[in-house]
Amino acid sequence: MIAAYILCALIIASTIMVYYLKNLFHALLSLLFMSTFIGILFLLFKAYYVGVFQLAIYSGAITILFLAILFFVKEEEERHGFKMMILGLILAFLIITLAFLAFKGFTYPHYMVRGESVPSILWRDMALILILQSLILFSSILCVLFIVRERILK
Amino acid sequence: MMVSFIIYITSLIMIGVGIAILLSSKNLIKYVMALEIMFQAGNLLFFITSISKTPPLAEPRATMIILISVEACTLAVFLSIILVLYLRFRSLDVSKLRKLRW
Repeated sequence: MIAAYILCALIIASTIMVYYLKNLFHALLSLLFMSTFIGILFLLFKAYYVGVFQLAIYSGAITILFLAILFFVKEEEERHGFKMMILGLILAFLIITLAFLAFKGFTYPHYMVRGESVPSILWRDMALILILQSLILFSSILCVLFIVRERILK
Repeated sequence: MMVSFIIYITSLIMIGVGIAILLSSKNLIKYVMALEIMFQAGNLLFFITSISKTPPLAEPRATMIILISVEACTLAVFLSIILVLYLRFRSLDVSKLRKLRW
């Protein structure tokens, strides 16, 4: 389990690097590292399906989408003043504390069955959600095409 | 239990950093990066519910697979909106995009 601790430390470090780096390419690189480390963490705990999805979608597809946008955009990041940064850190600390307190009373729902495989649950219990997900995918493709066609395709 | 607690703390720190980026940055792409960080923190929270029991629960993992693909759709729509905004206003600074206000 030492590998899990090291991976968690790496995830936190790369997340904080996203915050600190002003160059968007560098921030994207550390975002890529973060999602890859999370995927490795999933694989470490034998969640193979989730790990492969994480690596394929977040480390692959989303990063390439960001890269495609960054090729168009030539900008450095600008930031609000010091006050907004302090406000953000205070708010983040408050939310972390509240979530930590809320998690103390967490109990697992009774309907969760142990030892079942992911595909059987996906195709038996969550079949309707899968169909809805495919509709969401389709509508998002249409949405992106509708948004972009005015400016790009003309 | 200890590992799940460490992952829980990790995801909370990720949410905190995401909120800090949302409040301190002016760039729209950085906003989307912060949203992605917070999405992944939510996925990690789902993952904790999976690994805290032996044998691990499969329902959170099935939900995570669906969530990951839906989040990818959301991010794709966000990025397309950002691209159109940049081509129109030639800037992604939120303080300069005043024409978007009501």
